Amino acid sequence: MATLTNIIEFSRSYEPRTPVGADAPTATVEAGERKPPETVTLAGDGDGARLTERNQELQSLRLTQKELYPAQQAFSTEHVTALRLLGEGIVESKRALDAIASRDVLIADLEMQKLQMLLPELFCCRALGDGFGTLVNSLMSAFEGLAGETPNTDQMRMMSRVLRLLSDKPFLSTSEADEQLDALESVGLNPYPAELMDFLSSEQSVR
Amino acid sequence: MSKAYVETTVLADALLKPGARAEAAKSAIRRYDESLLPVYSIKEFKAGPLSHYVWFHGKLVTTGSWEQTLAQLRKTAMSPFRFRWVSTAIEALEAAAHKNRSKTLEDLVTKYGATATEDAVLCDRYRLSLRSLVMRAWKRRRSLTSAVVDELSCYPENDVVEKRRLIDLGDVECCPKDECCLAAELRGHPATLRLMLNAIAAQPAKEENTKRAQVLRDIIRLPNQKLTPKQCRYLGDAVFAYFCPADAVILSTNVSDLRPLAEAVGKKAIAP
Repeated sequence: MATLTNIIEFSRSYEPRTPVGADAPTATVEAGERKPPETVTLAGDGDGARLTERNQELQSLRLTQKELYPAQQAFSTEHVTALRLLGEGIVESKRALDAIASRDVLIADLEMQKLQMLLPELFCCRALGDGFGTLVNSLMSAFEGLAGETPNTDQMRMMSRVLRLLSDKPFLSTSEADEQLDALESVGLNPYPAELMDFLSSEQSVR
Repeated sequence: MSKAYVETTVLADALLKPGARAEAAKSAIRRYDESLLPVYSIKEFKAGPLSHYVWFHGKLVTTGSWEQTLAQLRKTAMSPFRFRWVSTAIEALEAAAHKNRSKTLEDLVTKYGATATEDAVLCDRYRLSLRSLVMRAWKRRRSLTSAVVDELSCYPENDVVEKRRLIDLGDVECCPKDECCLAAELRGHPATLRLMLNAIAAQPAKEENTKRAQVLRDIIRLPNQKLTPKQCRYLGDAVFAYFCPADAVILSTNVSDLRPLAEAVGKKAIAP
């Protein structure tokens, strides 16, 4: 069964691809002049249309650069670091939720503190994209807005959801990130730096 | 049935000022059975407060530095810009931004380099916040109220998009083929315009009052003269006072300017 790959199957029927005498220059190339493109002709294959067809077929089987590497930053240092930190964050938020379920507020708070403290480093991985940066910034702002208060269960759950989303889709778009800000606000978290909001609100109502 | 006619300042508070001001604006809108948002508010919102945020965002993008953007903000406080954030607010932001910086940042600079410096982190945090605020505000503008009314045929209301990392507002002014689409309606009611003109005359002399009065006078005296987009912009509060339905109240944070005009034509303007 044919699979989608860029590995080209070896065909036993193929003759040598380089025709005899192909190395010999057919025309003199002057200094500074571009060498004319060489054409490859399969021995015994006189039908050019068939060759073109085959080439098109191979092109369609070949994975594009974009398919192979969905983002320029894929598997970069930032990507690897982000995935590691997100893994830690997800575990911490899960532990916090488990602690809340067993009414251990102190442990829950300790886990959330750990989560809060890894966010600045996670923000250093923002080269992954503005969607990623937007969400990490929103989590940092949410903690700052709580001013030391332990997030409630809904807030913890929402933060955990955002971390899992980031782990699944670190290259998410800014509009996908914006949708998560709505969700964070719906549980009473402020996704923007408080000092920036205070500043923006100080603008006089003018036209 | 109670109706509110939502003016630009309330729209801006609800969409661009998360926190107490947004809550005050939204709950004021919710108090009414029906809330009407005229497209003139959207037009003013885009050309005014939204463009100020876009300017701030653009400075963060182009300088790539919080310190340099702060210097530009300080200049606006002393400049004849159409908007200004006062010096005290800028100082408060600077102090708070510095105070809130992460204690772990110094260690991260060793590991991540320039990306982790306070200047770069603050620049990006504010840039990302402003981008999100602007895009979300624009997206939600037409869902804030129960209805959007008084469409303006000469106003394109182009979408806000991102281009080369900057936010592009597109056209912020009307593009009339002949003249402002409000002209014919206004011209047909000179008596109402005169009432507003008299109300402005009783107000303190301010640049915006002078310009508004001049446009109203021109419409009354020179009915053949075309009303331009610039004149339409100068009309401002007069548009809300005139077009607000008789059974609605104008909801505005700018009641000191709006109320005299509204009352002159038998309408009400109230603050959230």
